[in-house]
Amino acid sequence: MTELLSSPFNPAWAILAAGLLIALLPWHQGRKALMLAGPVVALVLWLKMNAFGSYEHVQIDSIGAALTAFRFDGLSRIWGLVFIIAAFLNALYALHERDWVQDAMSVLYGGAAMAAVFAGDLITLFIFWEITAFTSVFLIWRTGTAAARNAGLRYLVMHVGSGVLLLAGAVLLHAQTGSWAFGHIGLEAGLAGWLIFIGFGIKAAFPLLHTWLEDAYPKATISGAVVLSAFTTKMAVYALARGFAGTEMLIYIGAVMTAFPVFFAVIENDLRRVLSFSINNQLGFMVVGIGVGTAMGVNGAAAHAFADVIFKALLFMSMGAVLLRTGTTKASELGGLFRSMPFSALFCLIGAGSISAFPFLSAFVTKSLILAAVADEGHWVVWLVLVFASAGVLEHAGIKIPYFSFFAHDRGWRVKEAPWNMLAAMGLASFLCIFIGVNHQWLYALMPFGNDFEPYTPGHIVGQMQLLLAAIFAFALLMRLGWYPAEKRMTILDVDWFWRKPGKAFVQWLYAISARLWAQFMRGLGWVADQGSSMLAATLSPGGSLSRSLPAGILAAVTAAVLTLALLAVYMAR
Amino acid sequence: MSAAKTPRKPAGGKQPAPRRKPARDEAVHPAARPFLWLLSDGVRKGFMYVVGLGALVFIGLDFVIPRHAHFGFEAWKGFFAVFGFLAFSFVVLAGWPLRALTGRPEDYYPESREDD
Repeated sequence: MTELLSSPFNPAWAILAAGLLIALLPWHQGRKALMLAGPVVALVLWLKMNAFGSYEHVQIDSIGAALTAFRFDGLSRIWGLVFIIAAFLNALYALHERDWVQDAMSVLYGGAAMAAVFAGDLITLFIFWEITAFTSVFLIWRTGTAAARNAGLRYLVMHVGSGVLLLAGAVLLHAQTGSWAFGHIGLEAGLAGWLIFIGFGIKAAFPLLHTWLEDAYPKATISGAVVLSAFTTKMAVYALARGFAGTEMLIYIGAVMTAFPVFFAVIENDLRRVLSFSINNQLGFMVVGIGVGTAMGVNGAAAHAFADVIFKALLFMSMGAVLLRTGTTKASELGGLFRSMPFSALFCLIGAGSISAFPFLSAFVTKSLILAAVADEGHWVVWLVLVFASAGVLEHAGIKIPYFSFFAHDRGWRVKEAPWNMLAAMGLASFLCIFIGVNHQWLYALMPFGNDFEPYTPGHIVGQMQLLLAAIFAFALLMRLGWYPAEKRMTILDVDWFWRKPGKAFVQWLYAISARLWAQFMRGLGWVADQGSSMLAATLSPGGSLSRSLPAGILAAVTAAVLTLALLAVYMAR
Repeated sequence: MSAAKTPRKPAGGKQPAPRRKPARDEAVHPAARPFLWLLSDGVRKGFMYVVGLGALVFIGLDFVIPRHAHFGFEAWKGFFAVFGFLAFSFVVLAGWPLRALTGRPEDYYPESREDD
C-alpha cells in the first residue's frame, strides 16, 4: 500500500477522472466540488514527483507499440504545473455557472491537454490531441448562437485535421525509425516531419493556419473562452518545443506571428477578439524561442508559456466579467466601467501590465529571455520585429483592453461588480502575475534547462521603461490629436474570408452545377428508358411488329439465336 | 414617513429649478469612489505630460546607467524610447488604411444575421 502511494502517478488522470465523474454526476454542487478537487489532487501528485523518468508503460502487440503515458522531465514538468493552475483557476471562475455539459467538457479538455503534455509517445499524444479537439468545441457551441455553431464546426475541422496530420506523420515516422517515441523530430525527418510540423502548426496558430483562433474564441461562452485560452495553443507550443526545437524556420514563422496580429487588434471592436489576436502574438514569441533552440530560447518559450497562460486567462476573465454584467465586449459600447467594477478593472490592469512586460510583473522576466536568446544568436532583424511587437502588445492588450472597457468615455453602465468567485479567480491570477514578476527565481528553477539569466539589471529596466512610457505617450498624443481610429461596430476580415466567402460561393456553385448535371443525366436516362421500353413494346407486345408481320419460323429462329447468345455469354463468363 | 420624503413645492407656485447632476453618483461602487478623481478632465489632460516626462527621465537615465547592448544601434541613447514611440504610432496609424481595406458591416457574414 505504501509502495502504491509513493509510486509515480500521472496528475492528468486526476483531472480526467474528475471530468468523467462530472459528466455522470447529476448533482450540481458535487460537480463543482469535483472541478475544484481535480486540480488540487493533480497538484499533490505533481508535487510528489521528485525524480524525472518515464512511467506507466503499456505494450500494444497488435501495432507493436510500447506506449508511455507518463513522462516527467524538465519540459513536461513546467507545462504540467501551469495546466494544473489553469484548471483550478477555470474551476473557480466558473463556480457560479450551471452548465453540466460545459463543466464536464472543460475539465476533460484540461485533463486531455495535460495528458498530451505528459505523453511519451506519438500514439498517446495523438489520442489526447484529438480529445482536446472534441471536448473543447463544446465550449464554443454552448453559447448557442448560429455564429458559435458555425465557428465551432470550422474549429473542429481544423483541429481534427491537425490530429490526422499528426497520426499520418507518426505512422510514416514509425515506418522509418521503428519507434513511436515522441522526441526530437525535426524537418530532416522528411515527409513525416513535415506532416507533424503542420499538424502542430495548426494548433499553434501559425500564420494562415491561425483563423480558427480569432474565429472561435470570441464566440465561446464566458468561462469557455478562459479555458480555451489556456490549453490548446500552449499544448502545441509544448509539442513544438519537444519535437522541433532549433528548427530555424520557426524563428521566421514566430516573428510573423508576433507582428501581424497587432495591426488587426488595433481596429478590432470585439475585445475578446482583440485578446485572441493577442494570443497569436504571444505565441509568436514562444515559437521564436523554440526556433532559436538554445537552452535560453527553449527556457524562454517555456517560461513565457507559463506566464502567458496566467495573464491571458486573467485578461479573458476580466472581459468575461464585463460580458456577464453588460452583455457585450464591443469596445464601441463600453467605457467607464471602472465606476461599477473597480476590482475587475484593477485585475485587468494587472493582466495588462503583465502582458506588456512592466517590471515586477510576469512577462518582464519571461519575454526578456526570448529576446536575449534571439540577440545572442545575432538575429537582429527578428530582434527588431520582437521589440516592435512588444510595443504592439502594449497597444492592444496593455492599453486598449482596460482603457476602452473600464475607462474612456462613461457610457452610463451602472452594473454590479463581478461575482465573488470570478473576483477570487482574477485575484489569484493577479497574485501569480506579481509573484512571478517579483520571484522570478522560483519560475527559473522550473525551466527545462539551467539558467543564470538576470532580468533585473538597471539597464534592462531603463530600456523597457523607455519603450513602454514612450509608447504610452504616443497613445495619449494620438488620442489628443484624434488620430487614433475610433472604435466602430464592424467585422474585420481575416484570411478565412477566402473560404468563408469566395470559397463557400465556389462550393455552392459546384453543388448547384452538380445537381443540375445530375438532373440532366437522370432525365437523359429516363428518356433512354422510355425510348427503349416503347421500342420493346412496339416490337414484342401482342400487337407488336414481331407478332404482326414476321412469320413464326423467323420468330423461332430469332428466339433461338438470342438464347444461344445468352448461353455463350454465361459460358464465357465462367 | 413618506411625507418627509416628498419635496416641498416652493412658495408662489413656481417650478423648482432643474437639479444639477448630483455630486456623488449613488450607483458608483464604494471602492471606486476614492479614485474618481483619476477620471477627471485635469488628470486626463495631464496624463500625456506625465508619461512624456517619465519617458524623458528614462532617456536621461540612459546617460547615467550603462545598458548592455547586443547590437550597435541598441546602444544609442534613447533607442528604446524612439523605437517604442515610432512603432506604436505606426501600428495605430496603419489602422486607418487597414480598416478601410478589411472593415465590413457587422452582419457581413450571414450567420450573424441569423442570430439577430
